[in-house]
Amino acid sequence: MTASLKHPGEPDDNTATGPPGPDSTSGVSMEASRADAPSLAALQASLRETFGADVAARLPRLQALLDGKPGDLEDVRRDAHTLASSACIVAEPEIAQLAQQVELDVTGGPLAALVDALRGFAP
Amino acid sequence: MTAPEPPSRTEIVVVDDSPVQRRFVRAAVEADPEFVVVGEARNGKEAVALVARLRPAAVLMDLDLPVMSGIEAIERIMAASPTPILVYSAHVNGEQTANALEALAAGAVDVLAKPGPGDSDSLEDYAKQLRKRLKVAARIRVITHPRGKLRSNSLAMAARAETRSESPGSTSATTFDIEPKTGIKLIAIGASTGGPQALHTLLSALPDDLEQAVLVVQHMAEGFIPGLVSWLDSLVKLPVVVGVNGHRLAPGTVTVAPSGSNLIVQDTRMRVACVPPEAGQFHVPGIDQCFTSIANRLGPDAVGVLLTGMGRDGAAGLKAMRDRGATTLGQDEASSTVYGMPQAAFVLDAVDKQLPIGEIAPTLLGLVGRS
Repeated sequence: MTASLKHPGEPDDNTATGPPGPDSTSGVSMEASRADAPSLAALQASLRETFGADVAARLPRLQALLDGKPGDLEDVRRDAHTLASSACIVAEPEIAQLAQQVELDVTGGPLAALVDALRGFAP
Repeated sequence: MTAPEPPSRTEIVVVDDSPVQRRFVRAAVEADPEFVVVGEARNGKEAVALVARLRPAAVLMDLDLPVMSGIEAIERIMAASPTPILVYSAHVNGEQTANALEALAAGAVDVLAKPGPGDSDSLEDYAKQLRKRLKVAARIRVITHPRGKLRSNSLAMAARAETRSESPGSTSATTFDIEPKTGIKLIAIGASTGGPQALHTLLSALPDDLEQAVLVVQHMAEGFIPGLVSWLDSLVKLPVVVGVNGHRLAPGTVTVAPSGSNLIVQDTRMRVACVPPEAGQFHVPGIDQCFTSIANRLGPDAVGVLLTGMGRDGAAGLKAMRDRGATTLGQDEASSTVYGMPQAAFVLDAVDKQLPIGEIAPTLLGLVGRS
């Protein structure tokens, strides 16, 4: 079995998905449950790539608000919420805290600092 | 010779708008070969459709979702394709406990907090918690849910009430074979999985001038009881408070047993004590311990009610109450999120009457002469 961090069932476009392929359950493990399981650190490294792609998708909306083109503030709040919880998983506590503050106060929170911090992740 | 059938795996659907979270949760869950993630949804609307199509054994769901909120998705899933839902969310601890209770009220069977900014070192523990709670959740046999069903039940009850008034021979919640009793001082209620919604339904139907004290023991994780109390207090007419060691239960007040200890009634004046749990005690606060103390101190001057919940806590205590002359009620299977505790009580012959959740409050009022 190949310990692949990319699940065959993980869609590139993040759309909802039904049953993945027959070998979709053979990949990631987080501890000794499977003999050839990659470590949590390896998983986190892989998840950082996913995080980068997600940041790239959400950054334009945050940047637009910063540029005075607010759009839907609820979307921005939700982006901040999602980025906060994702940042906790990929061990980026500073981004998580900034995103949490923006989530709580979209227009008055540290949006500029969050956007600055996120730029380093977008591919 | 044919190869042996591989053991069947527990199929899970993950619902989260974060691709990072979905991948992490998938990895965490599939670390146990028992589980396989068969589908992922990014929002509540996709989740409702996916669960209806795949019929997984359980759903892991974030609450803060785009397009359709997690709460609405839970309600819709539980109304159309009842499935055990374990909620994991960043918004369920501390001041946001109400979100967890709202999820439970909507039909979720359990709630787990997501890791916070400083928790990246404890992700392994979080993953273990996810698997542990998911194992329990996936075994729960859930029913079409409470919230949607209760709405239709209340209409059906109103219709039945009209029929009863025209049919003297039929049984009704307020005229059935349990006669009003004098001297009832305490209504004791035990609940577990599905309890918050059931408690809301029951307590909402009690008047603000109730002369009896109400004591609630709800299985709940450490730290969630204050949120439950605030939530109920905002919804029901009676004041709702957390039980305090040494205080007396007050008439017309709902007292909820605090987490971390067993709440027992010490004397006939209903002074309570919070005592440490017994070694190996699984559910804290324990319903059996509370009900047994009530049986010993109040005998026939109490009513015992055992609501929805997994396991059998409360069954022996309710039996003790019945044996000492108390009237005892159990929630029926059709209206229970999990017909575990009430069934155990019924099997133990601890229940005078099994009733739909919507008929328990009218019955209690009938018992205390308020029908």
